Amino acid sequence: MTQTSATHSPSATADGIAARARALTKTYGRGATEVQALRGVDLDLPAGRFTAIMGPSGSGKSTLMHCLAGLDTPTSGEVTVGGQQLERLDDTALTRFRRDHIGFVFQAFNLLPMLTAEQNILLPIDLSGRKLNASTQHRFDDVVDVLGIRERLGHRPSELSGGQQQRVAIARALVTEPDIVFADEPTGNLDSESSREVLDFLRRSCREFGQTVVMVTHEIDAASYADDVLVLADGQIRAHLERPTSETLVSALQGVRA
Amino acid sequence: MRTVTLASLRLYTRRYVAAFLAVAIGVAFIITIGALNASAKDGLTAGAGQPYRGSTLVASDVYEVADARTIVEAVEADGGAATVLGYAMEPLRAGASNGDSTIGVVADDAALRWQELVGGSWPRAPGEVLVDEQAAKSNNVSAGDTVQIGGREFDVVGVASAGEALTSSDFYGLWADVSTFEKSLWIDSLPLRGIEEGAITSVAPEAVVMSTDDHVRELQAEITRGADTLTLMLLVFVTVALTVAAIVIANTFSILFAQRTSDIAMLRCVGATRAQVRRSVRLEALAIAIASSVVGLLAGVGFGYGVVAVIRSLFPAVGLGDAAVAPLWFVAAFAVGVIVTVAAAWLPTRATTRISPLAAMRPAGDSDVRTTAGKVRVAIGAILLAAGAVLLALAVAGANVVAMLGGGVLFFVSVLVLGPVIVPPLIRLAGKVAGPLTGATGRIATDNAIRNPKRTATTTSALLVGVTLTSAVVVGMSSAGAAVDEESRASYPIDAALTSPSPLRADALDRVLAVPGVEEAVALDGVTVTVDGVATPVVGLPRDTSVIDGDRSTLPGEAEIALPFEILDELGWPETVTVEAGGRTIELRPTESSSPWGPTPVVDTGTLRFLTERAEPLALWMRTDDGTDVNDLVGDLEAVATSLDATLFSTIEKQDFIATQLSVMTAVVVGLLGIAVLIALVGIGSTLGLSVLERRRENALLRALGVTRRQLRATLVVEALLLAGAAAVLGVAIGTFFGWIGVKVMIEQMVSSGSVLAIPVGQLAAIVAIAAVAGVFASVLPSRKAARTAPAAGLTLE
Repeated sequence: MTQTSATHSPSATADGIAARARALTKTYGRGATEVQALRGVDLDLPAGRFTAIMGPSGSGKSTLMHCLAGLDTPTSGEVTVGGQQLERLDDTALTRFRRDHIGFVFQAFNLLPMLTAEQNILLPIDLSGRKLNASTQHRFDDVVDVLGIRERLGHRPSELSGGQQQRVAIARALVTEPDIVFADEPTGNLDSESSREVLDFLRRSCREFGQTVVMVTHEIDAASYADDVLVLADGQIRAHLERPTSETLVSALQGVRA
Repeated sequence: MRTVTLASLRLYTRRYVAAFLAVAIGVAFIITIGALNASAKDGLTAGAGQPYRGSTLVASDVYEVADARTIVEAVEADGGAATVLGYAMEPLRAGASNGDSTIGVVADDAALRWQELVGGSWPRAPGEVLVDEQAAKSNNVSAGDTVQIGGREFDVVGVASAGEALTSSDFYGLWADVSTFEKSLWIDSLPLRGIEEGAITSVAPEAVVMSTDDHVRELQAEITRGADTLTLMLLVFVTVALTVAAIVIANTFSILFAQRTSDIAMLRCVGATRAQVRRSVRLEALAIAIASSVVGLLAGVGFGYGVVAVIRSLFPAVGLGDAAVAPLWFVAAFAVGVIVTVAAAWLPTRATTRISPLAAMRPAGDSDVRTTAGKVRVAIGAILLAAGAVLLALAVAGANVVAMLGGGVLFFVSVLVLGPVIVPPLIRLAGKVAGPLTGATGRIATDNAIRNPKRTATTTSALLVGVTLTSAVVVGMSSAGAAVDEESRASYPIDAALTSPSPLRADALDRVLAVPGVEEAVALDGVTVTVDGVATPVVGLPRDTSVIDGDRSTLPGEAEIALPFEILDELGWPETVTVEAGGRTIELRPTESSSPWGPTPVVDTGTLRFLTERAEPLALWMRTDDGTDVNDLVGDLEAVATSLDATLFSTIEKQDFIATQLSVMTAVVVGLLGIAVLIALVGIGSTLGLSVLERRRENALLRALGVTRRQLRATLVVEALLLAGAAAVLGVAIGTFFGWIGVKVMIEQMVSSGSVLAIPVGQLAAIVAIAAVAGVFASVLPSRKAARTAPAAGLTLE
């Protein structure tokens, strides 16, 4: 970490944990059609790190992310993000919390088709009813320059390549200086060149802005960009790897499948 | 393919709800009109024969009371019996209730009495009357009471029911009494019995005599023709409603098929031919058409019979009968419903065949639904617009109604064609204006509203039709009202006058001014004179003429005299008249037209001073407040007049009657157009609802990014407001323009004073407000649906 240029380390809570889950379960359906997507997950996501959640299809990784990000409510258990316990919030409060404290990058359909790139990036600020002040303008300029999308600001999503669209989505996730950024298969729809770019930006946002980033992915290449990797299977965390290499990841995943 | 058609119908039933409602409402509208037509004919024709019960011959085309009297006397002299159908309208005083009432005739001959006696007894001697059941209730009169009709006392001896007869009156007196109301008596016909046809024609050669059967048959045919004419006029509104329904249906189908592009492409991929796809979607349209038309028939029967039942119980005097709708109506309404639906779905269903099998490969939900207005469309629109404008200009120049209608249709169609070019900028502007208030929500709503210009234009055009017509009617009617006002200012320059042959009492002015609703009154001095030998009081103009509420151009000038119609008629419309009072004579010229200033002739002050030094108050002019209840005011004034031994001359009722008629007409037309507006709102709701389905992923994204449920609902409400508002503003603008053209072509030719365009700003603002509120209502269900979108829904492809 050569340049911790960000003056503000948004995810720094007292214990240095950006998000925490305790005994998290999520069950869909009832009776014969009951599916247990999460079966008691405990985890701490340290602030200022780039964490990847890996697992095969149906392992529950997207459900875990949705619960951590306040997009979905767990059946039981606790989620704390930036010191705020999410189950205590009603829908409106939760929505505002997402708006002000969480950033999102999705696999596809990240941007509103009728807005320009710039409007999309500023949407969360717009929604909160805040005006663009000097510090947000500064943040906006920083983020836009780091992501190299300044020339594309006036374009609509349909006029951008897949990689450019994801970069705009990352810019939107970063511009509000959220406690945590969740990225759900951000490279799922991209070619390898664009994928590398996007992953590099996510890592740089962590390094250069001190941003906490959590990424869900099933690609080993993608996960290898992360500082920490949690391996999920059948709704439970099976492994926790720090600064993994491709090899350690492969063996960890094989262990899960076996 | 049948499996596919049936499965689609099952799956998408809810999405067809707008098309379904639009057709059903239209069909129900037709059946309701059918029910009204049938019940009007049934009720009116059934009642037509009742007053002729017991007669063998009927004499009609008798207009003069004297002629009727001659016939009655001749028939009775020959040993037959006769009575008169008709009524006199006279002021009534019965206890506390005042106002005009009608008095008809009850036959002397028992066999010719068509009324049913409900209580008391038949009148036997002059001065005795029956009161009608309904009038007894509304005037609180019962047998045994004494009432004053036309200034004469009558004893109420019984209560009668008119049944279904069309000639019912509030009271029924003997011919000997009723025939004395010579001025106000209107005669319809004379039922006769025990007499030969020839006996009548010899005493009254003008009268038309025919057998009772023939007369009743003729009467019924006339009623039927009248009801059918009215029905035809109502069908114009059905056409408007169905046009709007067709727009809504076409829009619903094209949105639906756009959403199903990948399904249809998939069908093509697995081997369905274009023809098979087209047949399948057309069958779907046909199924919707049939189902909704059937529902419309049932709803129409329920509603039509309901309306008839309500009218019959609330307003028995209207005389509606059973609502037996003829089978032909059902067949026609059903056919119209099916044809309109299938025809409206024709183009959208054809468009499905252009979907290429490759479209299935595109990821769902990302299909670009953006459409733009083509150059061809703009060109066609511009040509239509120019043609319409030219025709409208010609219509104004030549006062040509046909050119006006043609030009209006062309102009309006051009607006519909150019809709995708006109409407979105209008919405963008509205969004920008409202921007500071609505923030991000408003901007998203604005962007959503204009995302697909063609769809936006079609959705608004449905509402545009109703709003434009309503505004045009409102502007036209209000201008007609202004024109009538203008005319009545000339015909009725004073609201009322009290006149008396002998000097009015000193307190007369104060007593008139004490009547609630009298704003101003002035006493006019005068003297009794002879005008070419005819004795009459004459008054001089008052010094202060502020009491005059209308046109002053008919006031007599120097050496002029304003004479009422009766005196002019009696004197044979002379060039000059000689007026004489106490030995002084003067030669005066009657004013150009007969006097609108009441029954007392008017001269200027100089002329009066020449005629007498001792003028005394002989008349009293007053101006009344428009807001006062007319019956109360006239009743109060009658009472004052009676106590002062004066005669009341009043134009208040006539002025009020015209104003009431215009507002009733406006209300009826606007109410009938309201059905088209209702259908258009169903269309707005449908477009929004279908758009919500389309934007599921976007809405989920917005929720994830921090849009609250309330904000998401608000975007839909604002979108509806923008759509409805744009249609309303544009509609009011075009409607006002059409109204102006209509006034130029149809009204201004009839009035002397030139321009009478009266723009009812309040009513037009109300139209915009109602459209906006209704738009909000239309957005209720779609916005609830949108707010239910889970933030995690549809974001991952997992």
